[in-house]
Parts: sequence; structure tokens; C-alpha cells
Amino acid sequence: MRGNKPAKRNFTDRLLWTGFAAAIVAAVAIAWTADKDANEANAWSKWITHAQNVLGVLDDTRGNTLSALAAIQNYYQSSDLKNLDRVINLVSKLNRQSVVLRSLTLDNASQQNRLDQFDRNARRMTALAENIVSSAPAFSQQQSIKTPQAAELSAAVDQLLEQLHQMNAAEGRLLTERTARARARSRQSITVLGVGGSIVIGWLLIVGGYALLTTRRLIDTAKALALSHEKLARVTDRKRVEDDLRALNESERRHAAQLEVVNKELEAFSYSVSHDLRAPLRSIDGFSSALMEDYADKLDEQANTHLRRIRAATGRMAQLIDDLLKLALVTRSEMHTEAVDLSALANVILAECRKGEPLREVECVVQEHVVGHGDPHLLRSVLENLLGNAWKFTSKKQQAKIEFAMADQDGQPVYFVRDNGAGFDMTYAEKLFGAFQRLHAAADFPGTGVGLATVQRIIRRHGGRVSAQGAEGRGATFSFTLEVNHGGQQ
Amino acid sequence: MKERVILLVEDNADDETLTMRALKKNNISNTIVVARDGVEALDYLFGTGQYAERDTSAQPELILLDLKLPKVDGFEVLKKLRADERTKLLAVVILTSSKEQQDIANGYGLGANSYIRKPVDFQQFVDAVLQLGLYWLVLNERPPAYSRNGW
Repeated sequence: MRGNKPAKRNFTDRLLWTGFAAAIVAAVAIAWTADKDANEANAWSKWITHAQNVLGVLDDTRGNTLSALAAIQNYYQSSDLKNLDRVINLVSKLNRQSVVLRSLTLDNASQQNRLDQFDRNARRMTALAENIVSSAPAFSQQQSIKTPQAAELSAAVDQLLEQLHQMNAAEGRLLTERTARARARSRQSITVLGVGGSIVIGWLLIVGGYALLTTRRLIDTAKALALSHEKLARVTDRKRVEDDLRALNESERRHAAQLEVVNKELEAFSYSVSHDLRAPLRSIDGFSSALMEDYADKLDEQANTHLRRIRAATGRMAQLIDDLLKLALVTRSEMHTEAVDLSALANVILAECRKGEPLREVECVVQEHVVGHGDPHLLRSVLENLLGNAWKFTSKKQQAKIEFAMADQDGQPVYFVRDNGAGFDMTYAEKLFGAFQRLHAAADFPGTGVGLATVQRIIRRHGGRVSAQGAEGRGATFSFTLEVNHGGQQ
Repeated sequence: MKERVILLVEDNADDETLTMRALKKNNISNTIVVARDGVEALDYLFGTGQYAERDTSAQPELILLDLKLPKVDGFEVLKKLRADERTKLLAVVILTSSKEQQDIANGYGLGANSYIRKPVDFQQFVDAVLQLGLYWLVLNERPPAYSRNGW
């Protein structure tokens, strides 16, 4: 296909150029032929004029001859010799006209011949007339002179007329012939011009049309090319966008992969902590315990106190490890959002607290049918921490009160846990939610300082906020929201 | 009458000592066979390796299985013993440090009968051992096959 097109175009080009060249050559040839014909026609028209001139002179000559004839007839009737003088005078005019005719018909031998006879007759007429005039001066002017010479004169005039007639006829024929020729030339010229011109114009039309067609096709091709170029550009653009997208996806994928690696590491870390960090603690506690039991008789009170402290410390550390693992679990565990009956959950947790310290008197007020949308396990952890804190920090209160309820704040449900316990200094409210941050001495209220950090993480994972209000010695209120959208798609 | 053996699969010497102590404190007088890695445990159960001479018709009353073990870990041991006709009905209690969700799920998935996390507090551990001894060695009715093997 590719090799075919240039060959075709070459052929087209050649055809076009050949067409133009042929048209130009034809036009020149036609012009030349027409010019030649026109020149010839022109020449013929000169000859026509010439013939017409000759005819004119012949006409004049005939007029003079007729006048001479009239003079002779007058002479016959009146015998007035003045008529013969007039004849002589007219014949001399005829002679001058004959000279003119002779010069005009130099190319025509037959006319010259006729002129010779004409001249001869004219001369005879002059001679006859002069003879009559010279021989008859004595006669009276009224005398009839029907002499043979006069008859001869009359015959000569007739011959003159006859010769003039012949010359006229010959010249007339010439004129007709020349006119026909000139007309033929003109017609030929017109024909050549018309037909040739038509052919050239037709040819030009064809070639021009073809050129136009080719041009249009060329333009179309150019347009198509431009279009395809544009398309190509668009495709290139799209390809670039696709490339960008792919790069973006790639980077996103890498990011996700990195995240997965980090998560895997965190998991492995948690796993290791869970298994390996506790084992030494068990040993410490176990052997401390063994010492206290097996060597009770050898250990004094001080030694026992030390061992008790060691065991207490291992217990705290074990708790710390468990809390840390829980905190890590908040981040890495998968979330399953559903409607959670928070009221029921709160009641269960408070019942557990009560079971742990059955002697405490705590007034628990739980609003009924409070529902929150979120992960049930994580929300349980939130309430465990908040209610557990409330339970813990009201331990020194005679009439402890713990409240769980929901309020409406700007159309959004806000859940809160309120207690009338130890409270906290609002100055340090910010620190409450940091891991390992504690506002109370461990001796007063035991704890690892991980609980509220866990709560904050869980609430954040749900797209909500958590905040704390309180005053030292006057209790604390912890409130949290879940995602505004109750669907809580996480 | 055959011995009522407890197979303790435990690589940590401290844990081994403390577990023995807890068992003793609870007056559990069964013979305790200790395997210090997974391979040893499987050798004992299938009478291979160092236990090539052992009569495998007698299988332990209870297996206390740790998960993190050298060579072959606890899950692998569990998988293999559950796949073998001779050992598939043995009582296996996973006794380990972690309570990672994945460990618990894997353990039960592979056919553990129980999953107990060793408490750090030794007294709690002693209590736990007492309870599992009571349950698995006294309270629990064993599958018929073991009765035929006699004891």
C-alpha cells in the first residue's frame, strides 16, 4: 500500500502537467492558425476592395460610354456636330479611365486583353468622330448625316459597352470569388478559434477539475492527517494521563505495601512482646514466690518486703504489657461497624466492676437505649476504660455516683461518662489522653496511663472526638462522639 | 497398670521448673515427661528418635503444649498428632504466654482442647494448674479408645 501511493501521485502529477502543457501548446497553435486565417481574410478583403474599386471605375467608365452613346444618338437626331465633339471628349475620358483600369488590373491578363480591345475601339471611335467632324464642317448643322462612319461609331460604342460589360462581369466574378474566399477564411478562423478554444477550454476544465479534485483530495488528506495528528496528540495526552495515573497507583500501591510491611512489623512486634516479654516476668514472680514459700524461715521481714515489691513490680509490668498490646491492637485490628447497645454494655461493665469490689456503694445511672454505631469490641474497650476510670477515681468517695448518658449537641449525639470522683486539674487536661500520662499518684489510684490513650485512638478511628471536663476533687466528665454519619462506614 | 503420663512440651527451663512446682503444689502425682522442643515431643508420641524403644500404645493422659518452641513449634506438633491415628484423640491443652487472637484461633483450629495463658503471678498460675488438673485428669471422661488401652 505504502509504495503504491507515491507512484499514483507521480502519475497524477504527470497527467496534470501534461494536460497544462498540451493546453498551452494547443492555445498557441490555435492563436497562430487563427491569426494566419485572419491575415489571409484580411488580404482577401483588400482584394475585394480592389475589385470593388475596379468595379467602381468600370461603372464610371460605363457611365461615360453611355453618355457617349447618348451623344451619338443625339447626333443622329440633330446632326449637331457638337455631339461628336462631346463624344471625342468622352472617349478621351474613357482613355484616361482605361489607363486607371489597366493599372488596377495589371495582375489580370484577361482584363488587360479586354482593355486592349477597349482601347482599340476607343481609338477607332475618336478617329471616326474626328473624321466625321473634319469631313462635314461645310454641312449645315441641321443636316442629317446617316453616314456609314456614324453607323460604325455607333457599333464601336456598342462594342465598348459589350467590353465593359464583360470586364464588369469578370470583375464581379472575381469579387464574388474573393468574397467567398475571405468569408471561408474568416469562417475557418472562427471555426479554429471556436473549436480549438472549446477544446482547450474543455481540456483546461478537465485538467483544472482534476487539479481541483486532486487539490480537494489533498486538502482532505491534509485535514485527515491533521485530524489523525490531533487524535494522536490526544491519544498521547491520554496515554500520558494514564501513565500518570499508573504512576500514582503505583505510588499508592507502594505506600499500601509499605503500610502493610509496617503493620506486619507491628504485628510481629506485638506477638514477640506478648510471648517473650512476659516469660521473664513469670520467672521473676515465680521464683520470688518460691523463695518466700521455701525459705520463709530464713527470710526476715525486710527480705519478704523486698520480694513482695519485686512481685508487685512484675505484676505492674505484666499489666503494662497487656495494656500496650491492647493499644497496639486498637490500631491494627480490623473494624466491623454495627449498631451497638451502649446502655447494655455500660450495665455489663459496671456489674463487673461491682463484682470486683462488692462492698463499695456506688450509684450507677445508665440512660436506657443509648445506641452508638461502631466496632462492638472497640466500643466496649472505650466504655471499659471510661467506666473503669470512673469506678476507680470514685473509690475514695463516700457517696460515689457514676452516670452514662447521651446528649444532643448540634444535632449530633454526644455520649458521656460522668463521675463525682477525684477529678483532675483542667490545666493538665491535654495530658490526659497521652500514653503513660498520669495525673494521679499510682499509690492513690493504680493504673498504667494507657487507658485514655486507647480511648482516644478508638474514638479517632471512628471519626469522632473525645474530650474531658473536670475539676480537682469535684469529679470528671468524659464525652465522646462517633462519626457524624450514623452509617459509620469505616 | 500403665503410668498416667503428662507430657509437658516446654523449652524454657524456668517455666518447666515452675510448672513442675505448680503441679506438685496441687498434688498432681502423674509422671511428667518433658519435651524441650517440638521434635522431642513428636519422637515421644510416635516412638521415634530418642524414644524409638517406647511402647506407643501407651499415650499421655494430657499434653501441656507451649507454642513458641525451637525446631518444630507447638502448632506443628498439634497438627501432626491430630493427623495420626494413634494420637488424634489425645487431650491437648495449650499453655503459653500470649493470648494473641491469632494464636488462640490457630490453636483451636488445629484441634486443641483448651487454651490457657500462663499468668505472670505465680499464685494465679498454681490456681490455673490446679483447675486444669482437676478438669482434665479427674472430671473429664476420656474417649473410649483410651479405656481399652487400660488404665
